[in-house]
Amino acid sequence: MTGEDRFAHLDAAYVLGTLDTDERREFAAHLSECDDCAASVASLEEVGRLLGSASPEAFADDAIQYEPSDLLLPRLLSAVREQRRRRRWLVSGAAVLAAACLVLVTTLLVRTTNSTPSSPAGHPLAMTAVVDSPVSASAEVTAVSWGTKITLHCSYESSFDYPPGATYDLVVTDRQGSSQTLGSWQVTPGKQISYPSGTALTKDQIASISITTGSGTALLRLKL
Amino acid sequence: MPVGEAELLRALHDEHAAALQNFVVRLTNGDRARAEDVVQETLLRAWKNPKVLDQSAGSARAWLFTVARRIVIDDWRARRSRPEVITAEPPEQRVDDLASRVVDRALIDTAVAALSAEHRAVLRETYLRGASVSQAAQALGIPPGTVKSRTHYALHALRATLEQMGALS
Repeated sequence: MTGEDRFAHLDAAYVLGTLDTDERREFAAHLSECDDCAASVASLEEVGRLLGSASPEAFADDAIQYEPSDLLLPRLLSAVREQRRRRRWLVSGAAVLAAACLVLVTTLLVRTTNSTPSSPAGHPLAMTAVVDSPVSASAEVTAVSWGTKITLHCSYESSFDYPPGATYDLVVTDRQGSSQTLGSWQVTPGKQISYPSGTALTKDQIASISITTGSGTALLRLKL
Repeated sequence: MPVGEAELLRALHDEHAAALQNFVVRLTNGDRARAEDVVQETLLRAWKNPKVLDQSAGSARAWLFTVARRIVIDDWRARRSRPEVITAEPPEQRVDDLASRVVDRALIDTAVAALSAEHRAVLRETYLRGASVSQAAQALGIPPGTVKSRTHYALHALRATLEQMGALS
């Protein structure tokens, strides 16, 4: 056996400290001359350190192998199917929203041309979607002597699966960035509602009006 | 669902589910149902993340192990419960240290359990029981030279497995 061959497989026993004293000393001396063996020892050091955390049971002859159940794959496939279905809903929801906006804009155009220019009521302004949602809304914002009157017109897609007891909040943010909740209401799928509200802020002081979920996620926003 | 996507999910499952299950069961104190939920969530995240699937199988596995570990650790934090080995109510920093020790143990246990029976046996004798080469040779009924070379192959196999799991720095 040549010198090189004699040392070739000693890296692991050296790292684990199982060589006898003489062989250990010889191999240590060899390491300073042999880059390959030194690199091999270095590559095993972290493994040796990690072995220190191992449980004795892991070394058993019949170490346990845990198999996932046969149900995992069917569950994965149906989870993916469910997600695709929901995404389709959101996309079609967005299409409905777009159609609703078109109707709204048309109505506005008709109304604007018919109404007197000095009408004190604010024009309904369509709110913009912050995230995909089954809700569309417009807001009438009118300056009044006590502050600002805000009337929301909200409509909900009926086919969407709303969480039971879902509520929305109307939140106003002023130009300094502080927000106040003006009120909340319950979701009525498939229906349109008008929600009258107001704030002491003047119209100039209002930066934006948002509709948020009960948990605080903004759905729609109107910047003034 | 397009056929190709179902196939992709099936391939992900076949290639990685068992390895992940072995790891995660060791993080959930043997709760196999909970482990399977974590494995499902992990594979779904991979499926939604095409970049992961483009990688070689080895680095995909490292990504999966990292995600699975994060799901479990986030869950520990969220429930403000600790892994069972922790009994006291330690400060946040110590929780992280202990969590990382629990993860290290799960990683190495998974990798050791995945070795061939021969490789596990030689490490059990030399490393776990602290036998000398000649004692191990006797216990295993093989020549001392074979103990050394088998230790060499066992430890390199262990290193390759750990590396695939993303367990080495």
